[in-house]
Amino acid sequence: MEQNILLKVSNISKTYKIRKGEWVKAVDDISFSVKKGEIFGLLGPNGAGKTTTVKMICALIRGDSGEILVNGINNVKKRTKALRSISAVLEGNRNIYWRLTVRENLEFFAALKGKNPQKIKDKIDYYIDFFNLREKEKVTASNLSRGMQQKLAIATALVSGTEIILLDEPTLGLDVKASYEIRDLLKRIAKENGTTIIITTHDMSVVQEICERVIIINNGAIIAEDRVENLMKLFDTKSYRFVVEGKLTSQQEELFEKIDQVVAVEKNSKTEITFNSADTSLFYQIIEVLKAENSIIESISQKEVNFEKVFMEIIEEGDKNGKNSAVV
Amino acid sequence: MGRILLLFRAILIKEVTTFKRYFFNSMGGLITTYLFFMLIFWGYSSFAGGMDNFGATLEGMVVGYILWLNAIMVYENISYSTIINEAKEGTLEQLYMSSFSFGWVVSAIAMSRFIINVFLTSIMLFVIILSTGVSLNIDLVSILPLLILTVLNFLGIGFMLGGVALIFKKMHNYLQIVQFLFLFAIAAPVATIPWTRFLPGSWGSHLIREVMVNDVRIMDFSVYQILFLITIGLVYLALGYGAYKICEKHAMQRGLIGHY
Ligand SMILES: Nc1ncnc2c1ncn2[C@@H]1O[C@H](COP(=O)(O)OP(=O)(O)OP(=O)(O)O)[C@@H](O)[C@H]1O
Ligand SMILES: [Mg+2]
Repeated sequence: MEQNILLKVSNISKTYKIRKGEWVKAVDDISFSVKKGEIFGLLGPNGAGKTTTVKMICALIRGDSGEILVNGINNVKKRTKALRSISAVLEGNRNIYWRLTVRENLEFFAALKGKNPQKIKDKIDYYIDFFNLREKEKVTASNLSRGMQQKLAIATALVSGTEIILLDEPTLGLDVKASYEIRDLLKRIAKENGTTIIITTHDMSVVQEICERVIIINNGAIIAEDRVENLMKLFDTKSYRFVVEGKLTSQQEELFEKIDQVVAVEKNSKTEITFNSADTSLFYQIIEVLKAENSIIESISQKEVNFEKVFMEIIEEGDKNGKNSAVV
Repeated sequence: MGRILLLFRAILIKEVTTFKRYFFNSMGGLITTYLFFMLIFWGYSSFAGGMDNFGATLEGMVVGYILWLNAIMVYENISYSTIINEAKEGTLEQLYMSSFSFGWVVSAIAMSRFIINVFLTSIMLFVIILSTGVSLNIDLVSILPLLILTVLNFLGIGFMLGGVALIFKKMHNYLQIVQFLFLFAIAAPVATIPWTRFLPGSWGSHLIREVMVNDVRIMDFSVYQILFLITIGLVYLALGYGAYKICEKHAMQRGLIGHY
């Protein structure tokens, strides 16, 4: 086995039976591994199979096939032992007891993971301060704001000191401020504690900001896997905007219409041509088409990347090429 | 073993804290229950032509009622409060991911709730005795062990129906109907109709009535009587927990744990 691999997911699949004769393939032959201390992202649109994958890792959903090893321990055959290394926040702010206070929640979840709350008092205090919950220490969770509840939920997962923390959509339903606060805290946790964190999200910016490595899932299958910086670099350099004086000729319009990735829009006696593609030759093709009709190119700039759009493009490309065809 | 004690302690603290925090809510329910009982009691005693003639049956009725309260509390705690409510609130999955097997976690919950239930029903019993003048033999040394063994029956049924409700979400509306069936089981005439002793809680209720109404002590029962109580309690618990495990496996396959 490779060194430092904490979680190894091999060829897992899951089909749900909806009713008689009707099935949904939620996870389709997914494999990946996560190293110690890594912040790993599972990115995908709604219904991609992220939650199912995470719950299979947590041994809450029994898969059809495949194997999941936590620290080399099979999470189905040696469930309880494997789960000692895993904590998870699966339902966001619903993951905590709303009728218990902040401190009571932390103490309860520590004990649930086999830690004596009295012996890890320092740690509980550390997380209360870390998540800025000191003032609310004695307040029941039902009286906290949505963002504070979410922070408490994450704290309860951390307090027992398990090696792996799984967070399903940790910023879902939060306002912008709370969302950014959580992102910052997660980054700090990974840096300061060396905890291995696995995050699912449909929000590309969360992955970009927090994760080191990511897999992109669609329709239950992995369509891309890379380090986040590589993924970003690719999108960055392949996203351009041309501004051309005047209108395009009908010939030019016709040519551009044939290329899927290119969008030409007229704006105040100017034309804006934008494209996103992994294919660099397209860049030169566009310049050629413009030159041929003596169009004056006013500027060429790297367009501001719209992550959502890039993400959708990868997914669409994956759909076209069929499953498991990594774009990268 | 030390770790298991840690779990029991944590769950006891959680249950008691929650109970204390929402004490007045619980009290409201209890007062309604008390008024309901008194209504039945007065109706029954005036219909039957005065308390004096029916003293013995009225005592039996009070004991039966207290047992029934314990039965529905245990049953409801497991099926409704624990399995369904935690699933609804989103915390059942956390209990499943603890470092202990789910069996231990639920045992700890059942035990903590039992302690709270005994506390509540004792108050209730005390108030009922005061307000009805019924005289009962409160021999705790005899009653408590019998009660624990009797409660196992209802615990088993709570598991079974909780498991079913995990899969058939709409089920929980019907869970309360079962509580009324308990009433018959508790009042079952095991002495005259022998097969009724196999009903959940019937045998245990019979023995407890013997203690509380007829002043029998636990040592006065035969070994067979006690052995039968233990056996039937364990059988119901094992069947109920077994049924729950089957439902649980099904729920895990269909991804239903924590989905409500
Ligand atoms: N318990 C279930 N029973 C039947 N189908 C399910 C169940 N849970 C999920 N599905 C289906 O499986 C597919 C994957 O769902 P999953 O919840 O894993 O996706 P997701 O990536 O987490 O989506 P989201 O972003 O909406 O949370 C979807 O088509 C979903 O409808
Ligand atoms: Mg999801």
